[in-house]
Amino acid sequence: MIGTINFKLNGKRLELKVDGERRLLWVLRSDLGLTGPKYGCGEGICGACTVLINNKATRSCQVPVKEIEGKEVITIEGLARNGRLHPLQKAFMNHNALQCGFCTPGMILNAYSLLLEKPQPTEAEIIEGMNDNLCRCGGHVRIVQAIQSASKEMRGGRKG
Amino acid sequence: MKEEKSPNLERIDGGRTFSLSRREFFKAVGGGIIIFFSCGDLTAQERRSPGYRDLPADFNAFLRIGANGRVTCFTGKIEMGQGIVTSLAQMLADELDVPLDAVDMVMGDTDLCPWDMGTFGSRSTRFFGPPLREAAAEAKAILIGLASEHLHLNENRLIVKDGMVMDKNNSRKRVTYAELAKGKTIEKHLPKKPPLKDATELKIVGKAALRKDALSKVTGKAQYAGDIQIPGMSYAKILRPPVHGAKLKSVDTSALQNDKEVQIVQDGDLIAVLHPYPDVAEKALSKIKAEFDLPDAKVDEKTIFKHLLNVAPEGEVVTQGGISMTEKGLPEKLLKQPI
Repeated sequence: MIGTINFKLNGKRLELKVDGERRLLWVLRSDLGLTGPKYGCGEGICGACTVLINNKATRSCQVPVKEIEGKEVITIEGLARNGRLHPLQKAFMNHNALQCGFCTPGMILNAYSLLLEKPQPTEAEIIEGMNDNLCRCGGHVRIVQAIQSASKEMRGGRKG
Repeated sequence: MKEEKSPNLERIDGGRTFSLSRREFFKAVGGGIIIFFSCGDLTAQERRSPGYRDLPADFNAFLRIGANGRVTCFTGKIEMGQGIVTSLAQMLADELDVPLDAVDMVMGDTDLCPWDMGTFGSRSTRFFGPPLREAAAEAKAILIGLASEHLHLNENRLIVKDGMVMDKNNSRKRVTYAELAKGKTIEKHLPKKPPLKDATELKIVGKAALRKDALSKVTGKAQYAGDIQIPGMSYAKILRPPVHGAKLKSVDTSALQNDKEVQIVQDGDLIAVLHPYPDVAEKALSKIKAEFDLPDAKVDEKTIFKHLLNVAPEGEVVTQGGISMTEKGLPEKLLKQPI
């Protein structure tokens, strides 16, 4: 069932010979060496494996790799552009919105997707939008603050 | 008070010098849930604890000043989200009088770092922090001594700022830590440990600092154990029995017979499938047909709590001691350094 899949990964076009039934998470982590997307639960529950597919936050542990044919995938490694961190990355640093950091890539990419949909979310909308990304360290309050702060900065100019 | 079953019990709480191994300890006191109370004379415990006795006496084990002015801190403690990669660096920077940004942390490298039993029990700050500060204070005092010889000035005329020792009356008369240490081990020790800074003198400790690991964590560069990939490495997926106490009756791996890529490991009732990609190993494992003899389980996830209460033995006091209460219900004395 090995097939050829063409897609864009972190800004670069890619052709991959791969079993299309394999999950995107493992192709990213094993075949392509991108370990930013984390293996948390493997069941689509925790959000640690979140990546952007056509700018939408998606649980990569649930996506057969054949489904990304012709699409654009962004992992946490591809969020900074030209060496400049995305406002969300800066805000997570400045607000100390991370401890062990295992949930952080998924948190940031889920927040990215959320802010594209709702550029000026209320606190309640952030909490609702981030509710399915789990953080065992208990960094939620700072994570919400970081997203609020990034949303303010992004309103000023760069969208991401 | 009940007779003590294990005379050495309080030592378990006293520090990393376990007088009994964990296994011996549980053998001595039996199973069940053990709750440790801090009991007895805390000062005696402190003397026994490694921060005061077991860590190396030589400050060089804790820190090194590079020829480029960067300070490397060595610790057997590891970062796991609790923040010590930053907070221990803050403690060192403050005591040594160098900028926080000049400190690099080397953590848990057993070739380089001072001996440590592990990172657990909220002990890093309390038990590793003080000896690290002592090491920094001693290093600073020695560097001031070296600067005094170098600048031909009396020590009491010298002040330190950001890794630079200077004449307090003429800041042009100055020498950096880097110039004094030249990246080498400082073969000089003080007979008496210099005092640590008073809390009111601390400028870096107690203030929120940017976490040293933040950048690597927001860019996906941080490596966790599961992210480590070594050339030629395979992942193993293990066949798990459906319930506790199940016995493997028969196993059929014929579905994988023609699969050249996976490797099957069988050792008694342990069966694993190996492949360079973990998901491929997992999928291959699902093709193995196994039959188990299932025990007649009387407990399930609904009845487990009731079951545990039924089979639990009566609780008993194993040892007792420590601080008694006054008639008013207040503690007789206060601990000097509460944990």
